[in-house]
Amino acid sequence: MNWTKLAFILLTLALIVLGLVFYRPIFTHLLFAVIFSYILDPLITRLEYHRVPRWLSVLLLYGVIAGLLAWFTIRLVPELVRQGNTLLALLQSSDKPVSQQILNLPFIRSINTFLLNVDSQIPSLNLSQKFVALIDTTKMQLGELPKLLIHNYQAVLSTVSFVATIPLISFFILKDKQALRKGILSLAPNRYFELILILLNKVDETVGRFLRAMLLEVISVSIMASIALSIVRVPYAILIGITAGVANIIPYFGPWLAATIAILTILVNGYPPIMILYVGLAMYLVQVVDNNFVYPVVVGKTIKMHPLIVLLTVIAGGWFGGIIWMLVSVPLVFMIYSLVKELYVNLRQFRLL
Amino acid sequence: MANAYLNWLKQLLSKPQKNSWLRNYHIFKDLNSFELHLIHNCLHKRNYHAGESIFEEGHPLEAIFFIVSGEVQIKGKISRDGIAILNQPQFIGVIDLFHENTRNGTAVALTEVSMLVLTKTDFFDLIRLNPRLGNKLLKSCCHFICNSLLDTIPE
Repeated sequence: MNWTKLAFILLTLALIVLGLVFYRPIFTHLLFAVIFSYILDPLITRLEYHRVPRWLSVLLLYGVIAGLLAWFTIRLVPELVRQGNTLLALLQSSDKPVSQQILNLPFIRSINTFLLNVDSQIPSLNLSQKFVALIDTTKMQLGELPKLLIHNYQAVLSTVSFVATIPLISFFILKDKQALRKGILSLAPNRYFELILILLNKVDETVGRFLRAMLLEVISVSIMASIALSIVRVPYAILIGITAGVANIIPYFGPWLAATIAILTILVNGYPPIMILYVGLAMYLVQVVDNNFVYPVVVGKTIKMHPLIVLLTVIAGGWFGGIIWMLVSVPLVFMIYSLVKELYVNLRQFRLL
Repeated sequence: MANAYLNWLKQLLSKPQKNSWLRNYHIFKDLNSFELHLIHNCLHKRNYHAGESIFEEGHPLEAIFFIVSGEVQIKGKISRDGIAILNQPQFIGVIDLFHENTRNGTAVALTEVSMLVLTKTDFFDLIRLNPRLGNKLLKSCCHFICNSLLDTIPE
């Protein structure tokens, strides 16, 4: 290898490393912008085929999304705030001693009675006392939540600016999609050009289809669960419905999580136990409709992963990065798995392996 | 006076036919300027050195190559004697695309070659998303395949 070529390669590598270090803070922005672009791209492309320039299509679509968000804010946010405030009021009320207030809830009262019975049998345990202390701590921490938001206004502002930056980056990704794609492909050596084309198209298809399908599923399950829970008169139906929609991203275990939250809400609010049956039935119906109609249509095929692998992936995701990673770990692992599979098949076909 | 304004407006609004050279390729010959613009958006430019392999027999097919300059040698089931030299404005891959999705021959650049590449995915997306354009493309492909078939029949 001649020295000029070696020096050029070293210089390029050094620039790449420097670039990665310099642009590190915006990687998350870029990732979310790419996800957002993947969701919107089919609509932009369709409009382009109807002679609407891409930049105009993106602006039109942003306008529609802004309109929908405004409508959602006007129609649903007051109800969500009301439901959230009721919960906070329960946690923050100070006219009665805290423990007394929460201990009056039927479900908590029955647990406390049971613990008192255990204490009367084995006095040294003091389980009831520990239970009340636990309720106190939980209440205090939850009650601090609004103060926490005010005290961390800088963090809130940075989140708002983060959310505002994503559509801006997405605008350029969507507008110059073909130019970006051509730029990436121009770097591919001739020998691997067709292989890289196949993989890039596979990434495009898998990631795009999966993200769009997930979004549609979250929306449809949120709406269906909110309606079903409202029919059986569960309190905070919309909040629980949206939670059900988001949790549904986790296959097998997500639906159980939402049902558990709904049942706990009923128990905490002192509704008759028969309501548990109604909630179970409502959530089951939502799952039947989702599994048999929505999922096959929007996703096409289910994530074929063994339940044990799903469980382990969710736990690992939780350990790695909290709730967000619990939600994204399963689709991410599935996408990486299908891409590696595709890479292996194609490397064999191109006789490179 | 009105005509002068009208001509000035026409000149202002009409886009130059910058992609009209693409009509040199048989399968694009019936496309209008907007359809050519859509095709041009999907084309990737590639350059090959003399003697460099473009693809090999049995490889999966993902790209149709349009020769812009230079000469390409194809060995395989392309002609009666199993060898063919192609140059501008010929293209490679359309027959295999509708056949087995794998390459039926091996292509090597004989000289410095410049080519435009249309991916299979983009080709079918163009047909799916714009049926009018798709109709024209498929008709031209049929015409091209028929001509190629007729060429292989001994006289």
